[in-house]
Amino acid sequence: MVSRRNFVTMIILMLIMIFMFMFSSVVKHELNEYGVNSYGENTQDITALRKAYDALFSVLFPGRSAQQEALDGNFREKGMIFLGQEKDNAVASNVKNWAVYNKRPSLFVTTLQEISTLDTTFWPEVLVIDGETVDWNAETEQLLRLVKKGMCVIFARMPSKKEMERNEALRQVTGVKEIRENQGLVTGLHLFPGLLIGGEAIYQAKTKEEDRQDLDLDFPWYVIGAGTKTYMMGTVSDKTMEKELLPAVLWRCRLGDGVVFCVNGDYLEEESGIGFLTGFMADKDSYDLYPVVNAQNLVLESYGGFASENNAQLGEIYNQTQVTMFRDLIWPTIVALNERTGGKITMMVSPQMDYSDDKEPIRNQLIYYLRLLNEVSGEAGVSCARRSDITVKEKLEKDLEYWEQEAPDYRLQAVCTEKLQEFPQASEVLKDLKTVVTKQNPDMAVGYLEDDVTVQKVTGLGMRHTYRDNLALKAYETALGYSNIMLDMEQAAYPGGEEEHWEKIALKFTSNLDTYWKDYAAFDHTTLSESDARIRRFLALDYSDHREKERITLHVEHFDEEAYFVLKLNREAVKEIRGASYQKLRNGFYLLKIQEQDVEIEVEKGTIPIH
Amino acid sequence: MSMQLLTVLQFFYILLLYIGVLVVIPGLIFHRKFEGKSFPIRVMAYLIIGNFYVMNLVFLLELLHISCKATLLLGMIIPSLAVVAFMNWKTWVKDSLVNVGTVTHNVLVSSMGFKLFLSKILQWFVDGVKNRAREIWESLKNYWLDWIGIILVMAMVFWQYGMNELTSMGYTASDMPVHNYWINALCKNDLFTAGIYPYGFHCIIYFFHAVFGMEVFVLLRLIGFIQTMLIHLILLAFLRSVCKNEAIPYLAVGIYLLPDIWGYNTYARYLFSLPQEYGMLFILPSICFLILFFRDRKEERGEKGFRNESSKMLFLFAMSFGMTLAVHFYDTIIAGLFCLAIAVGYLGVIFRKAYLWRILGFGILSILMAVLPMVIAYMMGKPLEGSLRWGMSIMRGTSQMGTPIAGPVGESAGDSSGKDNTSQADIAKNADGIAYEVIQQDNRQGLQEGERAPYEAPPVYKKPGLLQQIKNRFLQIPWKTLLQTAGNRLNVYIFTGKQYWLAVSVIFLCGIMILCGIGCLIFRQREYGSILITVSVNVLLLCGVMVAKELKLPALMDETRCSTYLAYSMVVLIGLAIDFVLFLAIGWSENEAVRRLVPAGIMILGLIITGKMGLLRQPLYLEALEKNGAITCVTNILKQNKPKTFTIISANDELRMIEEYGFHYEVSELLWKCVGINEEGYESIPTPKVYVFIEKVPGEYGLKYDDSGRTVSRQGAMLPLPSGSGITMYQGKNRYVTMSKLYYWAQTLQKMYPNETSVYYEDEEFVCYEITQNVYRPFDLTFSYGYNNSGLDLQ
Repeated sequence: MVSRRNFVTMIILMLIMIFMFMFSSVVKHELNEYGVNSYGENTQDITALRKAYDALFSVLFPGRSAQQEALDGNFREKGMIFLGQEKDNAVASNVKNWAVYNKRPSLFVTTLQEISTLDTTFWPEVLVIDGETVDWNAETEQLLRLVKKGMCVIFARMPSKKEMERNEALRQVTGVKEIRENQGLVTGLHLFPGLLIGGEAIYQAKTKEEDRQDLDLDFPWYVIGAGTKTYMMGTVSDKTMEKELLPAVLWRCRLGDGVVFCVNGDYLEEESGIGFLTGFMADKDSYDLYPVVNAQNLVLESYGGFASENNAQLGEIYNQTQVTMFRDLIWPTIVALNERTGGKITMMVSPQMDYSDDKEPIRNQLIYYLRLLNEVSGEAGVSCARRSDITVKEKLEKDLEYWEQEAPDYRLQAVCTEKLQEFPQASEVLKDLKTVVTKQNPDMAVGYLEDDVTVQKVTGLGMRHTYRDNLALKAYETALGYSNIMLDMEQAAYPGGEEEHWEKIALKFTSNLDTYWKDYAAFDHTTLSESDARIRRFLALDYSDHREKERITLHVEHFDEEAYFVLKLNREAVKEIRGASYQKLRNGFYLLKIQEQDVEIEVEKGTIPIH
Repeated sequence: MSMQLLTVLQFFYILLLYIGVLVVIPGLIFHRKFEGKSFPIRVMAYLIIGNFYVMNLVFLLELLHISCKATLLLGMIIPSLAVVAFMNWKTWVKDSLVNVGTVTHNVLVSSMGFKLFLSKILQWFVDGVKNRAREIWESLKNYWLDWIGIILVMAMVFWQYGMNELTSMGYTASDMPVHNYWINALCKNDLFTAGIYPYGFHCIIYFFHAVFGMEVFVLLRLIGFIQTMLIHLILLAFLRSVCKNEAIPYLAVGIYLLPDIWGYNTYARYLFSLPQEYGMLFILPSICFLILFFRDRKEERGEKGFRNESSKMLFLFAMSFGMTLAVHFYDTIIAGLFCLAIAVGYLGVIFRKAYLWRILGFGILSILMAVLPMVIAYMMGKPLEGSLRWGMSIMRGTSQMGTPIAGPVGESAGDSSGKDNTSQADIAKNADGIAYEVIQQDNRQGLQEGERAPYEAPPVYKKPGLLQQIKNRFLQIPWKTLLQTAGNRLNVYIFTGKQYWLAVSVIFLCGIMILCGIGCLIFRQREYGSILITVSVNVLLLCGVMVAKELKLPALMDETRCSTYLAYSMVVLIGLAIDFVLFLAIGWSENEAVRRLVPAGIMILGLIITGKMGLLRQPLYLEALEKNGAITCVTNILKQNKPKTFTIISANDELRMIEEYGFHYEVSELLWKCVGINEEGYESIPTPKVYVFIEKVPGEYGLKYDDSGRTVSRQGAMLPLPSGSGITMYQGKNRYVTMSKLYYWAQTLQKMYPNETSVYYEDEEFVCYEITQNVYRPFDLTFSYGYNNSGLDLQ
């Protein structure tokens, strides 16, 4: 028999337990303002930032002659001259973007004649050369002279192999000791630590079946000599071959007082090539400081857990409806992964994929997801993906009706389109639109698309992570501290084969994200709206830095609340920073969160413990 | 932390380990065996036992190729416990085990609480500490004057020799890298790696390295001072055992350390960490134990069997004498001469049956114990090391000149000085030191042309008779001249070259002391008299070694080396002479204060006079062969890098220092590879870190040259790259040229790799560059630095 006193005690305890468990849930539910976009309340002055960017752009690309620019002293700090053809040249385009991101006053020339007459004090910091579009008969001697006098040169693309074989001076400038025949011997690439954030990587497929190898391995075999430093080289299956003889892909050579960086391959033809340019410059001197976006996005494109459109197929596979599959299978996996990686989700909502059927999105389902998103600090955007033959405008209008019913106050600031051509239609419908995410190459990683809308390039697809993707990810992180991983949920809703079943997708996606994203954990995880705000600040700011002994000073122009910089120290370590907080990355890289317009950095050389 | 502070800490750590393992542990095990013996005797006994056991343990494990930290520790702990249990089974071990068993049982069956159990252990520990503290306090209280004396002696030794350890941190002898190499080989269970050689010293160093993890080069740097201190403390202990006055030993050691009357040769070697000096530790103990044997044997009145005190002393003698052989032959020679002197001193008893056979037996046993590991290794196919062949030729008297010394900086342990290129006839001539009469019949006489000569018999040597030999050898010696020569030689080698009178008076002192000894024998002070005669004869014998050539005897060792031993023996003689005088003067006094204060007064008076006359010896400083900066860098590099992840490019000494931990690349090899660089050439070092050691003020490495001590310069770099092998590249002017070239090579490297090359350490005389590189693509280190000329192209 239980005594009355004990009975009362037990009841009280049970009530306390119930209260404790229920309380948190009730609070979470009641205080969850899921109906509004918490990232839409940004007080950022978009117009002012855009104006600042435009002004800066005109300073960076004034379109005057080198002589004028040099005499004005514009090149002395961070100036860049590009030698090569500018029109219809992907390399030139990427170098231009790099100049924008690195705030480098730039000039595009096709001959060195103008530069060769300049006094060394007016020289730009770097001369970037597209070796394939230069007349080497005319330029070689001048280049050799400039390098010996101290010019820093980057060969964004090497001259042709024939030119290299013929031109001894070019070989001398680039540090090439010997040219061999590739003959398909190269089986992979080895990227060494120090050049890119993310460190070392060996891009060598272990088996022939492995389909990750998509890098160009058929490049000229340049053996480099004394005074060179290799950043990336080709590897061969023949283990007996001396590693000194292996072909160089990315390297540095010092000749006289000058330094030459070389890219043996087509890496600068892609947008991610800006990472190599940044890495080269960071390894040139004792230190380097450059601004970054600092944003890591995770985008769930075409999230379709709102209408049961493909119940027949999904029921056959999972014995579930589309809505329950997205709710009970997909969402828990996403949340678990999100918690593990510390990421932030931007869900590109697709209430319907097929507008030709009568299967409308379920009521309250959007509210349910907005509530969950809010709990994981995520954001909702709009997807332009559709399976029926209607225009983007029609689709978005239809979707907005659903939004009006479910969450009329939610500001939709991000849209995802497959093609940039669809953007004008989207902007007509979405009044609060601020940023566009696209899988299509927009010729820039981040930037302005229209007056008030930014574009954010997708840097990786969650399902597939090839060697080229990996190299590009490292490059983007190095140049911009930016990545944008997208997982297309349409294939989960409409699986084309066994490979597109959710368990397979989840396995690949989680393993890719877990493995390849963790090197960049120091960068902030953001939603697309957060990322958009940072991109605007990043594009608008300008900076100057100066070193005196152990003190580096940084001055940021157009500073708006916050800014992010990467500091690379080659022989030293940070001792103290005033005006910013910092986080150490690997291989001498530091991420700085700038809190004031002027920042002072004290560095110190490593000292020996016993002296 | 400064390098000086680290050196001091390392020194105390090594000293603590050395004393702990080689003195305290044997003391804890065997203290009951030596109850009743005086403190100096006990300390010497423990030191001998400790060294003997460790040496032979290492020999055994090395021969079995199972030497490592675990086996060495097991080899130390298990036999120690077994011996303790065996010796004390009936007294306390059995009872203790029973007690432990009872307590454990009580704890397990819960009849004793855990708290009580802990409190009992704590009580036992506290009691132990209290007892030991009480004993130490009693010792300090009763022997405070002795303790003050010991501390003063240690302070004097530190003042004279220890300061150098703080100012010159590198190796001071050119052959220390060779010994370092041999010790490193022991780590790989490669005993006698360069051939059979007395390895006792190496075994001791290896033991401390393997068991306690101390780097070999640190041990080699600092063990020299520890052994010097012990040599002086052993001298003190010996004198304390043989002198009648307790204060005389301190006075004698003071005479050895303070006045500037001793020649440089007599004490310079105390700055080396070499086997010869380490072996000196065992010379005086062997003599002391032999004297104690005579003392105990006399008391035993010819008792049979070996379970007595005298046998114990004789066994200690055998161990000590054996260890001189196990450590260095020269020490054995000196100990042997001392034994010969004992034979003279104890002439009256030594040939008695109760003494002679025991001494001979234990003497043979000692030699057998010492040579056994070498014999085993020889039978396993190891060849003799060059020095050992030379040593054996000395013993046979077949060496043409008994000096393998390479120069003032050290002995040529690694040299093959035993090249025996003397003819058979020469050997015959030198074996006895006299000319043989060669009888050779010319069989060709009377032969016609084309006629075959009959069998030629080998020449027949007719040995002259004994009398003839003595006559040839001694009677023709001009003794007066010899005395003068001895005086001169002692003056030059033992004293500072200005005390001829002192040198001659030492020889006369020996004579007087022998007479005094005979007097003592007559007046029934037999042991004292024998000791006086022994010590005097020993000094005379060593003087004889100094003038061996004039005596037409084989030169056992060169004068420089002999002078160290002779001065050391002279201190014993001087101490005993003062002791004898005081014995005559105040020996009758029963008052201890008088007995102690008089020598103390003499000491103070002597000190004042010495000071007034400006004869106070200044501390000995010897520039190391390696810069202090290099030692600092090696210490830091070992601390900061994982094993086998770095390479040091340097001249020579670091090669063996870092052998176990990293890689070494010779400067000469690098510079020669830079001479003929071509398109195909690529010289790289595949370690993540490469350190380049450059002497901005190149050392001489024992070879002075014009403008010694100048800094590296372009002029030096322009000179042809020195050719030659071994150490010649790094000696004298060659080192200056090599370092000059290396300096400009490093400058070019730094220009080519500014972010990858940094100054790791720099002082006024030395700079170390650190190169950080990718091991998958190491830098090509052969490039044009402006001075790649070999000199061959200039000719």
